[in-house]
Formats: sequence, C-alpha cells, structure tokens
Amino acid sequence: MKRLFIGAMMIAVLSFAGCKTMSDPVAAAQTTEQQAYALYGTFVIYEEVGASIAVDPATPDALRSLIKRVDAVAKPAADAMLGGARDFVKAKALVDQGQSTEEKVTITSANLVNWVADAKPKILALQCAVNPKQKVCSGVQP
Amino acid sequence: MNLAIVGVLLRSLSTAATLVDSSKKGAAISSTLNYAATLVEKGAEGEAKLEDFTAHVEAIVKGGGLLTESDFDDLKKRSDDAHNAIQSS
Repeated sequence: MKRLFIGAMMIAVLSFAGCKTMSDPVAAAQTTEQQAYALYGTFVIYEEVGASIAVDPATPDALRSLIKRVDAVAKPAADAMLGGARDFVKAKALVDQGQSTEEKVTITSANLVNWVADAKPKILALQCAVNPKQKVCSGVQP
Repeated sequence: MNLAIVGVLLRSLSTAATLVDSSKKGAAISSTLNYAATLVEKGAEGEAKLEDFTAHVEAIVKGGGLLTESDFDDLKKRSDDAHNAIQSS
C-alpha cells in the first residue's frame, strides 16, 4: 500500500514538473491594451480554477482561505486595469473620429501602464495560489 | 506528461487503494488520491482554457488588434461570477 501511495505521489510530482511552462496569452499580445486584456483574461482563468477549488467541499480550509485572500486583493486591481484598457481604447477611437486629442490618448496610455504594473503581482499571487508549481511562481509568496 | 492523463491515473489508483486495502487506511489513501486527481483535473481544465485564450489573443493580434466592448464585457462577467463563487465559498 505504501508503495502504491509513493508511486502515485511520484507520478503527480513528475507530471507537474513536466508542466511548468504553460501557454502565455500576455506573451502573444503586442500593444499595451492587448497585454492588459490578455493579463485580465489570464486572471479570469485562474480565478475560475480557484473558484472550482474553493467550492469543492474536499478542499482544505487553509487553501480555500488563501484563494479567498489573494482573489480579494487581485480582483479590484484587475478590474481597475480593465477599466484603464477600456478608457484607452475609447480615447483612441475618439481621436480616430476627430473628437478628442492625442494628449488624452497619452494620458490614458500612461494610466494603463500604471494599472498593469499594479495588477501584475497581485494576479501572479492568485495564479501561484491556484497552481504553485509553475516556473513563474518560484519565490512568490501568495 | 499531460495533466488530464495524470488525473485519470490518480483516479484509478484511488479506486485501486480501496480494492487492495479495505481498512480505514485504504479509505484515507483513496480519499487523498481522489482529491489529488481532482486538483490535477482542475489544473488540466485551466491549462486548456489558457491555450484557447492564447489562440484568441493571437487571432486578435493577427486581425488588426482591435478590442471591442464585448471582448471586455465577456471577461468582466466571467470574473464577477468566479469572484462571487470564491468569496461565498
């Protein structure tokens, strides 16, 4: 029985070790607003995985509490970033229509860069609480 | 190794644990393996979603890179639903 248990744990550990590099939507994006959109989408996916773990009655309370805590911190930052991306896209569209100025685009762009910088580590904390075996999680304390 | 396959393996081992040892110890090992399988399966779902979303972002970039209100709205709604589920768990 002991051998069976150790074997199962080895399979789990080895499989995680082989899956450290995941698809990265942010790397696929090119512009700042695309990166914000991709980062928000990544956040949503980890939030959904976190939700399915949190609602599982078999989940230990400590893990559920951790997911709740990091999500409570990440959600407002991610929403603010998404709002910043919306503002930037709107400002660009208005300039294209001749209804706004380049200055407005520059301001919303600078704001968006700040929102992304603020949200990134908070989203990473959620990502690593849900799936701590990823390469990006080494040294991250959720 | 593919996460989905690992999930199936762990689930099979969980069943095997109760067959090999019907005592409390066997049940406890089975329960642990079962939960490990659940976690791995959830990870596999997340991995598949990440792959799909990466392809979606690549399509946006190839298509000229314009984001629409519905792109934002869809993600926001999914996030709100997941957030509410987490916080009320």
